[in-house]
Amino acid sequence: MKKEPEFFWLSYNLLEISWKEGINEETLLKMLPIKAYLLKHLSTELREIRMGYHRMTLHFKEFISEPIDLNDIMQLIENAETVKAPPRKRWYIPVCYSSDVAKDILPLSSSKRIPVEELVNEHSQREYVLFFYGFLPGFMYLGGLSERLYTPRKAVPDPIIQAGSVAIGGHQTGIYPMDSPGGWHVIGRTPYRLFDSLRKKMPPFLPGDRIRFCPISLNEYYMLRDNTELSLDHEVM
Amino acid sequence: MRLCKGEISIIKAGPFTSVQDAGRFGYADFGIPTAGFMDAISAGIANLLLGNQACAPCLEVFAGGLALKIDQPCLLVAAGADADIQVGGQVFRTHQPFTLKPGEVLKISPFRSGQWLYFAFTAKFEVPAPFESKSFYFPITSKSRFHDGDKVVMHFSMPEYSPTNCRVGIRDWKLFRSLEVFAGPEFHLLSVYNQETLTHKSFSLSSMQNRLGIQLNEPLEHNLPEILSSPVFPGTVQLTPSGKLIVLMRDAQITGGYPRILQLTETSISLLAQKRPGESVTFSLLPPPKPT
Repeated sequence: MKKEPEFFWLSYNLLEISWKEGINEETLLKMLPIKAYLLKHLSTELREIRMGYHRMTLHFKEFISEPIDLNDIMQLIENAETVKAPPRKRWYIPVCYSSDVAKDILPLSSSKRIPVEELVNEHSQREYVLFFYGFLPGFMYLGGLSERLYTPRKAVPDPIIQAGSVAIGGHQTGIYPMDSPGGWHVIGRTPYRLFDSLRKKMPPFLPGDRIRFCPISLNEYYMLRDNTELSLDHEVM
Repeated sequence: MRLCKGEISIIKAGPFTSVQDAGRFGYADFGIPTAGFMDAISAGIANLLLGNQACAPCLEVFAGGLALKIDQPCLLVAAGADADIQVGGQVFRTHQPFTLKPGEVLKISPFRSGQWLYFAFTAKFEVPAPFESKSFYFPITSKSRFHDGDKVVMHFSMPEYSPTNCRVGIRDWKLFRSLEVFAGPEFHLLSVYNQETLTHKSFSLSSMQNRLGIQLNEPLEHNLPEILSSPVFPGTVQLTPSGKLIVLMRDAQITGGYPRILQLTETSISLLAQKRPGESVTFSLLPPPKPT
């Protein structure tokens, strides 16, 4: 058995740390306190840490006074295991699944032979775990999609998927934070604005948090959409 | 030193002119890419020639086509692509500081070589710095590049010396074809034959390129599966299922699902940025950076 975690230097200042391969919450919950601990204890040496499902890469500043010693990092990781993980939250995000704002829900329903109502239930009665952000600013990588909803990405991506679109791609589901080309199937739309860079608003969800999608009507969607200060229901897990 | 507020008028923006600095760090948690100078070495040279900090914001010009004027006198210097800078009847070269006077129009000829030209100013750009950087990156900034007729507010500080006609001689490092690389995390999954091909054959740049990445022409046949989304950086070389190599550049997303077979050094990223479609490079594999 390989020792865990594994270390790999990609460059003089990039160190990748990998845990057992796979998309699982257990690995994420192991990585999160370690990430927080390393950021805190190496704050003068680190530029940032980037996360994947089972890996994180430490990006060190180009010029630091002391060379990084791998043993020190291993020690920090060991120490981090004794640290209590920060509290996690559960968020409720309103989503309208009407075909008026979700252009792929009808074609997906017929190609998968799942009635629309069942498809909505399958998507909205699950709880999703936020693993990390990537692809676009504010784009969440969510784990926990029902196997029945797994759908290969479109062979030819759509030129524009609108901001707020809730979509399915492969084994994942997510929300487009801004207009973007994309190959995922749009099954809903949230009136909530995830990312507003001009107002420097970051999404409130943090890796480790859970997300639930709450179905709303088209009327509710239009009413909530005009509320730029819309805040989301949430609770500490 | 005198300080005064003025502006740059972009008369002709050219195909892709923007403000860039060293980039955004610390916001990858929210999926925000680094952005920043495509060729950080040339931008650093331009800045240092004026006594600015190496990472001070510069005007980054792709391929030329730019015409601008300013309303306060300012000392400028260009570095990067090989270009003539025309001001009235005068022609300045790169690495040659010159004064631009109010009303004079600065124009750039098509580049003789290279792709990115940097202008450093004895002035500060008054543009928004969302997430601690002035680097243009849409939608973090309101636009990705300048358009004809745009204006930029500047805080000019004309230094109390005037440039002579000297030009600083800097060896043209951009002529090198060999890019120093480290093995990427998935390099060892490649067949020995592919590893040899990658590190001994040359690869040419395709025209599929922008600030996010550069696709290379020569495919590498392989049977590597895709990976679970993992961190990527500027300089990461990804291998797509069809065998195309994509070198991620400054605006690249922060995670990717393609095998990461090489990682360029900082210097190599800048060097590659200056190569044009059709030009070729080789990958020179460095020993692992540190023991593990």
